[in-house]
Amino acid sequence: MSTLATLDADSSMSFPRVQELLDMTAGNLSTHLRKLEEANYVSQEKAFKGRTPVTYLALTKQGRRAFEDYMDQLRELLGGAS
Amino acid sequence: MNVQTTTPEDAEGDMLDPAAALALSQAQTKRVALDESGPISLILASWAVAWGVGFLIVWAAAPGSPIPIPALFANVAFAVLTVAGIVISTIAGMKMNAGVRGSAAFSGTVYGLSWPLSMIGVFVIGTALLKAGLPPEAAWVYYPAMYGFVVGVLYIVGAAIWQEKSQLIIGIGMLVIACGASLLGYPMNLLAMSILAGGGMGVAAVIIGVLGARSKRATRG
Repeated sequence: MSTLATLDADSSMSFPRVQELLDMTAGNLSTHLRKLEEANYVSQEKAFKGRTPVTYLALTKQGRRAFEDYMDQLRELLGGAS
Repeated sequence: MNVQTTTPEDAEGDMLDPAAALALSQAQTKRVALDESGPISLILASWAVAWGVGFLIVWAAAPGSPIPIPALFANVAFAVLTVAGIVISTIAGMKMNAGVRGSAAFSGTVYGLSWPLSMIGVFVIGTALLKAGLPPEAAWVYYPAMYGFVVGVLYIVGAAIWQEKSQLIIGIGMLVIACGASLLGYPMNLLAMSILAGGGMGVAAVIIGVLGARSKRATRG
């Protein structure tokens, strides 16, 4: 979620790009994304780049709020560490 | 975050403690920013070569130079290196937002286009000045100063768009070098641009490349 949280609210990132940034296998990333999608934190949109199907990922509004709350809780727990 | 199914885990699948979870999140955030480091490093390296070598050759072709080089060869070499720098910068800039859609992609595309457009503009205006009677010696003050000035401004704009302090430092440095070198007059401004602008960009390319590589290793854990 940290990776997707760097995007603007109206932007999305392709699955291969996220996979590259996180250095994960496609299967591993898909497993994580399924859980986040079930929690309605991440949305997936299938599109085409030319003739190649591409899946774009983005945080939902709920996901962005949940991520920010989580980061605030972590920082509070760690005594204000930035 | 009250999501039972997505607690951060390490590579072995064990749950991370809060400090480790925060560190991982920060590393991943930084990784996105420094993923741009590859293209940025390439852009800097291409201009380091174009200017480091190009301005040196043109300086060597100036009257009184200790290294006699034909002026025509120097002018053609400089033009070829500048075009190569523009092409590489444009292609590398376009790769910076690969895989991203939305307003972020728009920003990246527009910023990428601003490089070749502004460089072409500098060249066209210089041509117009020459046509209006600008002496060649003055033209060789105009071109390096304006190219350096435009590059400096573009890096500062990039710093504003992506909140990158490294680009801000490079941009301000380039503005100072371009303006300072122009005050030296022809042909010493060319040598100054070769060493300071070309050399400075080379150093920046190495630093940013190394930082990006380290960031990639950090997120792999």
